[in-house]
Amino acid sequence: MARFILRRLLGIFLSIFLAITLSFLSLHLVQGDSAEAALFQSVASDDVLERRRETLGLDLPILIQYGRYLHQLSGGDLGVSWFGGQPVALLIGQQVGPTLSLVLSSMFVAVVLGLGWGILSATKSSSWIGHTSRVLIGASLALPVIFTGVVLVWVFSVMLGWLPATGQGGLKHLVLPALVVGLSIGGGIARAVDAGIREVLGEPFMRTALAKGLSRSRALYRHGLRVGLLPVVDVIALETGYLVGGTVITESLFARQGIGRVLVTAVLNKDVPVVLGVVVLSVVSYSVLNLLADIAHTWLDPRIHITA
Amino acid sequence: MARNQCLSRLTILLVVICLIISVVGCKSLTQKTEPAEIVYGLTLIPSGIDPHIHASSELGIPLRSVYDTLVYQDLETREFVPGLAESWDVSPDGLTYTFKLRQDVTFHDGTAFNAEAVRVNLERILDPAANSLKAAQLLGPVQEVRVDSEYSMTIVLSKPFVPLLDGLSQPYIGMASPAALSEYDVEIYQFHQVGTGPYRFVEYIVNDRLVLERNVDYNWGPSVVVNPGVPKVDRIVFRFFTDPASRALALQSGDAQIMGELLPTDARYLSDEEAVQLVSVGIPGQPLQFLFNTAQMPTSSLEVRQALLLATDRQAIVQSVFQGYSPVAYGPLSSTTLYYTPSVEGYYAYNPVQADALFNSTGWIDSDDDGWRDDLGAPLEIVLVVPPWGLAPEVAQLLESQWESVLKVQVQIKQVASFPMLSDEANKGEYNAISLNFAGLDPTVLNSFFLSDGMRNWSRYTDPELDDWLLAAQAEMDPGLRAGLYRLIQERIMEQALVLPVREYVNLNGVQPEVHGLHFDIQGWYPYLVDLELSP
Repeated sequence: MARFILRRLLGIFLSIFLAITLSFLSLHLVQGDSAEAALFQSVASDDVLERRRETLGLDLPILIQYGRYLHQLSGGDLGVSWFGGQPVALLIGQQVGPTLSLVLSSMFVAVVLGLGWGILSATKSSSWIGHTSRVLIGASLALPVIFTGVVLVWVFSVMLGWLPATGQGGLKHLVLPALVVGLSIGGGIARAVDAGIREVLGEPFMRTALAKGLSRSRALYRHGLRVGLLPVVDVIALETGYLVGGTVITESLFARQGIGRVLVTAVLNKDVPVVLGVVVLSVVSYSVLNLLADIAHTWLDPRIHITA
Repeated sequence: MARNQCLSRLTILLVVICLIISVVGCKSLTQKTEPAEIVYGLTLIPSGIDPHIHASSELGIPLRSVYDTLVYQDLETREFVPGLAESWDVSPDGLTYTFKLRQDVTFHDGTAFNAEAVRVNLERILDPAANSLKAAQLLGPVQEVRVDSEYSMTIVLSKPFVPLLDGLSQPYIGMASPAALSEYDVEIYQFHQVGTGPYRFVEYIVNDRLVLERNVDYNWGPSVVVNPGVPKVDRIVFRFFTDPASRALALQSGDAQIMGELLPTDARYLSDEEAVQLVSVGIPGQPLQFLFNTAQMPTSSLEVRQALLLATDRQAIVQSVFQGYSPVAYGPLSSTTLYYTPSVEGYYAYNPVQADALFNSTGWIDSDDDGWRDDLGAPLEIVLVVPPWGLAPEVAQLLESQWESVLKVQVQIKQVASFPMLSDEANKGEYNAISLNFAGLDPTVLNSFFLSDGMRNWSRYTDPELDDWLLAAQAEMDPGLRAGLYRLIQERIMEQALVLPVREYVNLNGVQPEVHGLHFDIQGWYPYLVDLELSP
């Protein structure tokens, strides 16, 4: 187990390295001059711009800039925002709480919804309930977050006035965004649950269980779910990892602060250290969650043994 | 594994997640709103908010009240009045400014304000390593900052620079506590700002909020405010509403009590409702304008530039896009700017017939009868580069339809998403007109746009005489002569049709009925928060 984790950690470092390299190079394709970004409304002259380029290291060849960034990062330093002059760690740190609360509450909604929905459509597979529910799963996957978001805001904030439409400041501000994201991801989980269980229902050990005289639901809950739900753990881990940097549309729609919005501002202003900081955070959380999912597999299903 | 262990473990996981959510959620629930609190909506995410270093106009809205300035400028009389400086003298050659400072002022951290503090602040701004993007330029050619005694100090210039007092009156040169400046590194000082103003800086969460609380020791307010003492409102929370459409909504739902830069259509609708007061403030400086590229065909031709101006129905644009809330702009400066000359109002009144005739005189005509003027067999094209802010895209669309129908030229609109992209397009130079405008009461705001070597000379226009006038006007001590120079400058810019002015910039603020006393300093953007009151 220890060797397995060690190997995975090496893999994580490799992913971080690759992600940084790709982001670093692709950021240089974004239009515009990073040194100019903060000069909106500035009456500075060209020599100030030149000095800024020197301070930020933008006058150096890109490979040297890249090397300097890696060197700095290896010391645990994410650097300073080119746009706003704030330390990147502080800038991102301020957003971790709000992003985490959105990610966790969305995943809570998604898991509860996805499990219930998936089990329902798998067990009522051939009845009209199963068919309808699978159509709805398809719909929830197909509808963009921006659409369901606007509809939910319209119903619950504008028509009924039950929930605030924008901002943050407590659980009631979290309900709508979490529902919107949860609904979309819940569809994915439901589909995995539905597929997993329907596959399991045809397995020999299930027939054995039924032959022993167990009722269908009892057989399912006792023997089927444990196996059928294994792929679901992966879906949950991947979606959570994705959400850490991927809630930007929801954040904009509900005027919430968060990592996604920081990322958008940074990309628009070609603020390389901030973009790379968010990339590092996303890759790390994605990889760690994946690792946890693998460990959870062995925990949920003792037949799986991890070998290095 | 025991019965249903898999499911029960999943349940445990879910419960743990629930607990985490409720802890995180409750933490934010405890931030209850206090009675005397105002939420003030800002509109764009400023780059950084260290006033000595950064340039965003937005930073001055909260920070005008965190810092006091040495002098203030009266909106009515346009005279400079005492702030942290009780009195000052300017030497006849305009090179030496001597200030006597107030002796009863303390910073929010309890340290005393004195001449040494002023020196530390000004030298921080002037330090080349600080790379100040605005404050250093406002100070001009400062040669030396000298402490004469505990409460008097002198600024020595290397050449006369008349806008110095204007600069010293702006929040960018607010006086910060030297103790705080040395305690915090430059990267994190912007999160821990300490001034002497009526409000203390409490918290700044980038992209989300900036919180101020009143300074209960304050009693040294300048004569430009009504209340020179402790503010009535305990706490002001600034929040960012970058999406223009969300601003009116936030105001209506009570999420914000004051909101800047409402969409004109929303302002019209809200003022009809009468539930919201509208405070509209003219912003001195440059109007919303398009700078014509004199180095790019066909706007390299003076007649073409003039024809484009004559073919623009600015009144129609102001009525439809700005709902009549902004005055039509006629020159390179708004009428609220110092030394604005009304003579520019006689130039280029809407005249489609004259515009068409003028364009015909250039030889670009519709030779193949396809409805468009031609250049070497292809339709003649005008390229507009447009930033996303200030309703410039909407204006560009009207320009497109007006120019296409009046002048029969094709218009290509190139919209960019950010300032770096805009300046990149400007550097490439493949445009006929590009939109950018800066704010500022003093007409030196023209320098970087119209000096031949100016950083924003996006007209790519070179005129040694105009350069001489601009530099002379910046050093001219006599107001009458200065006004004369700026008249020449504004007329030359319009005679040469270097800009298409569209509308004077107006900030449409929406204010909830229970909020009173919102007023702004002479620069237009910065409110005097000390005068805000909430009726019960």
